[in-house]
Amino acid sequence: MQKLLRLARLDLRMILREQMLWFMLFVAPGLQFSMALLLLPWLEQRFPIMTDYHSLIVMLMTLQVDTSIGFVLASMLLDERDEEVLTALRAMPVGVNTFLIYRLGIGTIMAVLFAYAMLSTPGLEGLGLASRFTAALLFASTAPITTLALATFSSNKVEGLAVYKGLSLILILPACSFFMGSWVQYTLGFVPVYWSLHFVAKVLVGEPGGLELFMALLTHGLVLWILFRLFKRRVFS
Amino acid sequence: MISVSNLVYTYPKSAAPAVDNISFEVPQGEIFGFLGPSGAGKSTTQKILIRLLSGYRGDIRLMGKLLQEWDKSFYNHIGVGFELPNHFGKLTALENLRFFGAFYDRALREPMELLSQVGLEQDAHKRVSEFSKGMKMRLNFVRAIMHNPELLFFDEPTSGLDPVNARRIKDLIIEQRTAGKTIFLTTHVMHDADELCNRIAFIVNGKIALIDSPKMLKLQHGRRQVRVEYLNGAVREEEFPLDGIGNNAGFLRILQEEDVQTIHTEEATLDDIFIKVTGTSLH
Repeated sequence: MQKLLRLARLDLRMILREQMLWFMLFVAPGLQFSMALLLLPWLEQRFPIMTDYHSLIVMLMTLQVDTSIGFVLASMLLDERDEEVLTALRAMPVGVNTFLIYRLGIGTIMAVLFAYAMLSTPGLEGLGLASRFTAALLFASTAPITTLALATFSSNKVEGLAVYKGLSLILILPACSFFMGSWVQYTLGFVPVYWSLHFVAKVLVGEPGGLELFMALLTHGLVLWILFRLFKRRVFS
Repeated sequence: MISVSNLVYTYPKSAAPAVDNISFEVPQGEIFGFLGPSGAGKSTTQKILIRLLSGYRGDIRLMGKLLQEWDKSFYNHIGVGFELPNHFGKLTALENLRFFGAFYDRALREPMELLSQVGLEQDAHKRVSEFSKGMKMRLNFVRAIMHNPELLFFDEPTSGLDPVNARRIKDLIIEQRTAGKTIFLTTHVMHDADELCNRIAFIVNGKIALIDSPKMLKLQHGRRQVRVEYLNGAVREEEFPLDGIGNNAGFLRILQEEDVQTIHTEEATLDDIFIKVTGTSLH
């Protein structure tokens, strides 16, 4: 535990030493949270039509927060790949798998906390404690997905930024399903976020959402597993 | 300490093996030099020995245990100085050592003391991104020895170092041997190998062409001659057979009557031997 804390402290230092990273990890989520807490209710008062889409807007903001955490960790991994640090870690007792799991784990924990905070803002009281936590966990899974996707499909931070933009678009695409016909919307089910959004939507209208939760867990797990393997193959072979 | 028997390794998508049926043993307390030109199989062999490459054929025993029987604790017993620097650029030298040090399950040597041994004590709190290649290489070295491992692997440890710091690193490598550590040194710098290694192996096209001590190799492949340079109007040079040199009248006359500039025995250099044995140059 002491070792983990030491690693986390040094990780934090690395983040604080790069403006873009600390902005995306602390300032951007803080701004999103403030917007969800203050700006959104104010806008809804002025434009009542927005009230119908309150939960969807908050969920998309949550996704934005969690992917930005993923972006920060991906940037660190890209730096570490450039600096050949991952090769050095392979010759350490910890093993690179454990290191990656630690890195992704730290990001996921932060993403869960941010997501939980976002889903606790007014207007989503219907979620309840357990569903809110489950939803936070599902949304937070986009953080490691973003990290692994960026670190796998880009060679440097500039490319990473481009991949991030593309990935963000893909991840918010399932929001369109709320404006689609009943069967057409399922075509977006290949994006794991689709099932997270619909899980929350179901719970908010008082339905169990068991199928959505199962599919969300399955698709997130599958995508994470594939990306983890691709990342390792790309970096270590 | 290291026992390699009939090691063969072929990279995926490659027809020819990168390491082709090599065998060697390295006893404890020895500096073993692995010499060869780029692409000869040196780094591949080292990567196999430190478990970065799998899928090899043959038997490898390290510290008395088959390589595949070791778990992650293996890395508590070995130290690796990579050919290229690999540190967190945003962290300072000291922070880097603390970061990597956190992974080991054994007592660590005092980082500041180690940094001071390689002349980096003034730069301990400087970010590694501001370091020169030579400074990073010295930090590489410190990281390899900070957990006091029994077996050390160094890949071109003096690469990018100025003569003063190269001397420092070489002295520290010798110090490690004196402390009973075993060192596997991969290099193409013959001078370093000559100075540091108890034994060396020449590797070319994945095969070991020769293994012996530098001293023996130089004697075996050299000419038993003495070359004398002296001033007599201009610089003149003469060679005499080493056998019976004490009674060689010509040699004794030069010593007594001429202004002698240099006297050298004509043992071969490792470069010469390498070319002779392998038919290829190191560079």
